[in-house]
Amino acid sequence: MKQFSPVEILIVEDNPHDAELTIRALKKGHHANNFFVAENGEEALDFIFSRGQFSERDKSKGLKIIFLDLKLPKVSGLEVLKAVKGNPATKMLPIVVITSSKEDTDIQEAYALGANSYVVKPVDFDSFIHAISETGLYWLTLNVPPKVNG
Amino acid sequence: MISNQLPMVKILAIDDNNDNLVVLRAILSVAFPDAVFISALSGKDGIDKAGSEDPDVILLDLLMPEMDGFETCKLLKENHRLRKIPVIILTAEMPNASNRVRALQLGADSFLAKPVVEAELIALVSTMLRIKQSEDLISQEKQLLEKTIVERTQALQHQLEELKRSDRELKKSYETLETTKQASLNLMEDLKAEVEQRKRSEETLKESQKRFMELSILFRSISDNMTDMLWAKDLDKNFIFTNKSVCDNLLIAADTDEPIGKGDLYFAGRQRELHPENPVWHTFGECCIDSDQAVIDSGTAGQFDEFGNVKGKFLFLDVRKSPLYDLNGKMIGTVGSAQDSTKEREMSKQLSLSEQQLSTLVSNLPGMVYRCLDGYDGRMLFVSDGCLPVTGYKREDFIENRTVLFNNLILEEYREQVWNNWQNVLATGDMFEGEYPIRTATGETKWVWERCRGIYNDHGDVLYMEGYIEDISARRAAEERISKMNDELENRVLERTAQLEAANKELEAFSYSVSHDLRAPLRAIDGFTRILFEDYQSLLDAEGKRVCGVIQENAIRMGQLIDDLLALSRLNRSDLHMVRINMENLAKTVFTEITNEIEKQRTTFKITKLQQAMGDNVLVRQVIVNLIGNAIKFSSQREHAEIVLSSEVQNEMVVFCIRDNGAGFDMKYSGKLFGAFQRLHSVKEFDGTGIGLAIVQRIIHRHGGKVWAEGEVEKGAAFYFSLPLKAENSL
Repeated sequence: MKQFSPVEILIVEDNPHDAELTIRALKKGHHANNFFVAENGEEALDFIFSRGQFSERDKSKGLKIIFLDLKLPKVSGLEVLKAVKGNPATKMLPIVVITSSKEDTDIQEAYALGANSYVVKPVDFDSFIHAISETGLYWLTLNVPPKVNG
Repeated sequence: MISNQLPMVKILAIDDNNDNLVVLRAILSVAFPDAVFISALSGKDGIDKAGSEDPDVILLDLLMPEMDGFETCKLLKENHRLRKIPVIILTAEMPNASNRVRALQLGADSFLAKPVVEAELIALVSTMLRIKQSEDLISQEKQLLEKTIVERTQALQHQLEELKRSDRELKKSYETLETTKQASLNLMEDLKAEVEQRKRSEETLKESQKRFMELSILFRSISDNMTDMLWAKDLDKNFIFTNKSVCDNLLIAADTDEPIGKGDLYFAGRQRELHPENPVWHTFGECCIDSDQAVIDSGTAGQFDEFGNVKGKFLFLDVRKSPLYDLNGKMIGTVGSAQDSTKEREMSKQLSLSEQQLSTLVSNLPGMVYRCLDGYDGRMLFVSDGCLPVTGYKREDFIENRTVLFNNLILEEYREQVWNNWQNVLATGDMFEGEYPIRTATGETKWVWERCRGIYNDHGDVLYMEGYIEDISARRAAEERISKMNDELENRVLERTAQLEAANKELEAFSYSVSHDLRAPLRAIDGFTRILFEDYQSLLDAEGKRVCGVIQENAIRMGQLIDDLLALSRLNRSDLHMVRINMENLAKTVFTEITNEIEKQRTTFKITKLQQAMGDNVLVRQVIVNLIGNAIKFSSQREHAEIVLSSEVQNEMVVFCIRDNGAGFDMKYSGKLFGAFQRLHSVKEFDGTGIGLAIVQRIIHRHGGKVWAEGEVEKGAAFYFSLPLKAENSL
């Protein structure tokens, strides 16, 4: 990963194939290039809050969106969502939940915790690319985020 | 001179000084020459001399030794005989007032101071003597008078005695006279009374005869008016009296006089002679004589059942006979009465017959039938033999409550309640029906079932209660067993339900995993095949590219299968939220949403006015999506597709129909239409996973509705489903 420029997109995904497909979809949509893939919830939280191995990361710079899978080892996606949306410093950060689960309870809980979008990963790659790039377009290009202090 | 006028007097002088006595004597002897002068030298001597000499006046010195003048005077005046002798007190000087008063209180008559003035002494003594003489005179006259009175009184007393005696004799004579007079009077009264008595007796006799006649008429009238037979007979068993009834109904006599002097056999014979051809024309007679003899022999009254034929008809008489005595107590015959009880006999025979029949009928019942009077210890009038198997007691024990009171057999804790229920039923006129336990003769507890009701008269008063009681112990035991089995079953169901719920949870977890994990590899297959296709296009020939397409196609199809399977399994888990659904709007919206422009153009979508129905909005929408989707899919090979929606109400349910003009199906496979993964067409012909109709069926069944289809190959299909019309019919 290129660490010299600030990461704009955090992808939290334990399945490397899905992660790769997501990145490919984002690239196809010509969105920003700086990604970081966290393979579990704990790593994602460390990254977001500049802890542990990411203590050097400058929190004030860059992160524009998080693509979050729900089914993760260690700390689950919903817990990550809760931690980010529960913290005043990060609650304005848009989070797109991308998951295979179509379970109503998951969708409802995710929205209740403050998820900004909920995208079901389709099996069909075309649909997948379409879904990711559409969401990416909205959150990275069209959406005007509020100013975050600090 | 005064002295001359005085008779001979005695003067007593009492003084302790003799000189004084001499002086007094000298003075007084001159003044009263005829007087006897007596001297006493002391008080005591003076009193003695006064007693013996009876002086007319006493001169008393006050100052004396031993007994002084006061004392002497006191004693003199206390003496009854001497008190009337005047006492002149002589004192050396005039005594003071208190002494004078004392002397006067003691009875002294006068005072004279010493030395005595001669004239004063004489005058005083004269005065005293005169007073004494006057008093003596008065006393003498008084004595004379008293004597005369006594003599007169005695004479009068004597005369009175005489008078009394003659009066008594007079009275005695009068009484004798009076007695004699009364005796004469009494004699006269008696004579008068006897005359009256005789007169009255005559009247009484007349009255009695009249009364007797009246009573005879009265008795005759009463007797003849009776339906009962009455008669009297002498010792020869000949009639001395008969009433009309016995003459008419038994003897067949001309009148009540005819039987007098004749016997029963006379009349029996006369009847028999009239009908010699019929030996049983008249069989009465002999039995009457037999019972007469029995009464005469025993001398006591008796009851007899006498029966036989009279004028060819059976007659049963309830006869009472008793001996007849004269006034002296001697038996002179018999009296009798008879009541015709032929009808009662007949009825009671009939009744006992029908009772016997009823009893036989009732005895076939497994329980006991009863009839009793109202009241806690209401008399048991009837009870069937069924009481023995039910209670262990015999009929005789219950009848008239002889040994057993049924109410007491009811277990104590139920007794009051059963009793109250009975009372309520009697009050309302309803039928009582209930179950309660009783204790039988052997001490065993049995459950019985009873049905009973009150029987009332026209005024609504309870005459008695009638009911039926059956042993239901066996049934109760069976019920208990069933209830126990039910409980066990219930427990088993609960257990099973818990197991199923656990299994369901597991299934949920499983389907969650399936939905998440099974799709990831497929996504990778599809995605990386795509990458292969895109990034290495130049290295693949046509076959290679086709193979990539097949891989992708199958991966996507697998994904669709997984989605449908999950949808099907989710159906069972979600709750129904029943609302009123506007089916018309829903169908139109769905059609618009699921069709593309080409499909819209070549399809005629017709909706006749649709009835609203109750259902879960999301699920019913799924049904419509699947069915319209199918209709479009299976008519896709038609140049012009036609889809028609209609509805009608049947038995509180709304039946909807979606008809198309598509490929249709063979009715012999209609049973397979709604099974999961069952397909009637190949994927080549029509795409699909075979889950859609299974989902439709499951949703409709959950709503309590039905789903079915009609079709013909190449002539289109019609799918029907029903939903509840009203909210309360929803499940």
